[in-house]
Amino acid sequence: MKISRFISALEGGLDYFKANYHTIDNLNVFPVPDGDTGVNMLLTFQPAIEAIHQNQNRDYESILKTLKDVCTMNSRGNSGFILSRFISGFSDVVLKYGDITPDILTEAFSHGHFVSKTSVSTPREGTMLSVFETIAKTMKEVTSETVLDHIKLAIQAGRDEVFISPEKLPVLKKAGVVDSGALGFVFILEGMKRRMSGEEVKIENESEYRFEADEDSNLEELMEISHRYCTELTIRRNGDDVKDDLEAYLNDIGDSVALLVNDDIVKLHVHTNTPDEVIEELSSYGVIENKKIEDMQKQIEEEFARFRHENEIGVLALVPGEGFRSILHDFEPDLDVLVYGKNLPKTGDILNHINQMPYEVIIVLANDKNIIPAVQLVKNETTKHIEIFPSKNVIQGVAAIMGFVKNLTWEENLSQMTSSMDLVDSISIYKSIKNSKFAGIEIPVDHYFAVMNGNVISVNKEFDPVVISSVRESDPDERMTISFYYNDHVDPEDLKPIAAQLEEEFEDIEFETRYGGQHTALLLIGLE
Amino acid sequence: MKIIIDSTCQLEPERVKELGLTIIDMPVYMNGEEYPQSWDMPNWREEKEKFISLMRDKNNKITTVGASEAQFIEAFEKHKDEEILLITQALRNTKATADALHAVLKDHPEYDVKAFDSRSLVSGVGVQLLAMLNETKGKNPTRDECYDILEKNCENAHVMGALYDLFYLHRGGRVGLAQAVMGTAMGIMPLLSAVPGSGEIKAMGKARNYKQACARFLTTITEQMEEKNSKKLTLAMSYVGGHDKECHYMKKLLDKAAEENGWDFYFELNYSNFAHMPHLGPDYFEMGYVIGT
Repeated sequence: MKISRFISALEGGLDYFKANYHTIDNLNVFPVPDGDTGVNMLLTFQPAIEAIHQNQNRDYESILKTLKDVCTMNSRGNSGFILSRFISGFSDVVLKYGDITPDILTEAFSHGHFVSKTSVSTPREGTMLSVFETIAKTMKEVTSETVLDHIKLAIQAGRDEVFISPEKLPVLKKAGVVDSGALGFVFILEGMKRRMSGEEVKIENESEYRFEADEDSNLEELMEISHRYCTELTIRRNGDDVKDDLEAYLNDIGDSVALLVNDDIVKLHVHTNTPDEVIEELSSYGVIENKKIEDMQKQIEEEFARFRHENEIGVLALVPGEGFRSILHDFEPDLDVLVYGKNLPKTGDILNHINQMPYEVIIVLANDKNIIPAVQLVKNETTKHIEIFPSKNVIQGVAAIMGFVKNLTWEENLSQMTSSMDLVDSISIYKSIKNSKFAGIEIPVDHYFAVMNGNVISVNKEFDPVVISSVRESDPDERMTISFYYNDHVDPEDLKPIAAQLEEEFEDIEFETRYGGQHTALLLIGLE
Repeated sequence: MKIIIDSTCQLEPERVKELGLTIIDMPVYMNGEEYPQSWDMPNWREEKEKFISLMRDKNNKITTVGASEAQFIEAFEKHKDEEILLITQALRNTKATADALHAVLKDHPEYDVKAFDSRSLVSGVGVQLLAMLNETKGKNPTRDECYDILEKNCENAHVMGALYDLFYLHRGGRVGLAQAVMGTAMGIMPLLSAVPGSGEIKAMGKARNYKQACARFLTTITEQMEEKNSKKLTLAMSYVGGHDKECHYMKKLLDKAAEENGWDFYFELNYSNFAHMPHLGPDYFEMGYVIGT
């Protein structure tokens, strides 16, 4: 194949990729779903083609060296790195022969696959690496008359592999997409083929590479792999001939085989369940210089740990008014809430609610010390694991929920929730219905009084002065947010001038007013 | 010995020059084009403010990629006749960087490089360097001795931080993490931490305001100090424009705690580097700290 035709094909590959790289970005979910696979591949490949374009020397040696070096120097991101390593291995073979024929193309793809696969720390099936492997394998099995025919063969094999990528990489199946990097490489080949055949660039239809997401796919099943250990060996040869059936043997005891044999060394990459057997077999050819065995099952389990922890823990908050349902949901949308009114909740109601929750481990925020005995009874009645969180009032419960993270363990959550709860204080404002004495303080009938930490901190016949003085008494300089939670006996309009006065007095504090709906206290004040 | 560290280390240019470090800039992209930035660009503070303004327009797609082979080679080439101690952010979080570094170390044995994976991120990277430099101050340690100190400290290197907007974490691919701390209330601040010795990012809940966030952070640090029975704390904070007040408040809490508990407390404050902003957004503050040495 003439070098000018190869250069033209590479330019066609770039043009096609440039026209379609946004599709690649949009499909990107692995290894990090940050939507930049297309950009990274483009920024890796484009400078090399531009450098070739400017290269005055039109011979294989100069062009392939430029292709290899510029791609290596500009590789960006995971996909760019893998592409550049493939091009590096591919170029080495073409440089060796100074030409491209179907047979050289086969060897170049095979070596490109080997170099890329052995360059990444954790090669994964269902990615660009699988496309290289499948194409290399298909090229070995099929003879083509021309380079163009061989590239067409590669595209078909590559596309087939792209469409089964979700079966190999569970995150793709869950997201309902094919692997973006793998498809990106096929786009480059497609562009090369089109340029060689005189066909126009086509804008790819992204929907062809999307399918229904399998949200319910069994992750445990998807995580199973047939060959557990990624095994890599480099052997300095002792002169013995390498058996013809070595590759067949390796494919028999494993998969993802990448084997490089030359006069000096044997390099191997294989996924197998019997790495020791492979080492023993290969050690007959010489001295093992490098050896790497990695447990891929462990890597996959780590990758999916977050999926497994999802929905593991539930939280049930018992709250004294309907308003607290939406307040709590603002902070934690997945929270379960049981609202009670004048009377504390019954054991049976709590038990029924807990049994209907889809969690095996449930943290219960009692939010009232008088409810804890009922929750204790529930704990004895259910087979679920119940942890009672000792919040003494709903203000503490709201604060505690700030420390909850649904994919942490219950022990971690209890610790974090306790830390969060400790950062809040509360004041309750009541109205006396008879002359009484509370914590040693006389409270006349029809007077308002404020209680903080079990002490009466303000008493007045008027509502407003009690609220204002109690806030002043509560060490407000250390606060940033003060929340008023009112009940049905308080008109929120009456709270506006109080909040305005306090905002003027404490300009660094943010005041918020929300409906709590609690039965007893007219106003609950959260001090954060 | 020459220390090379990547720009995730959260040290300002003056501090980098004072410590004689060589920096590998982590690239940043905006709308598919490499964004012109570097750790020591002139008027770096104004340039960062400009970048932050661009980030606030959420239509601008800002991403990062790992360091390339070329960047490692360029940095190593500058010091090819010296012993190099390379410090990187947690390689588990940046596979592209890990693979590029692996390839360079394999293909270029001519460079005398000892690479230390900090297994941490943001200020957790830089603070490990600072703790090592503090420990070896006035001595003339070998590279191996420095490396050993870094390894020793790594398991006790922690990171915590507070964000004001989860959008960037979500767009950067940390979807699960963003969901874990998601809430709909206005002004809610997600709190994050990194697992020592691995760099895995975890949610630690939310706060209503920065004082509450700082109080949570202080509680956590105090518990960890008690758990390790340690009196030595080396802590570095970083912030983006306008959020230095949170750091000063945190320092006030730490100074008080240090006095009450008799801690030997070292503190440093730096403006965040470009490399973190695409993931954390235009509004955050964070800290890395090493407990004991």
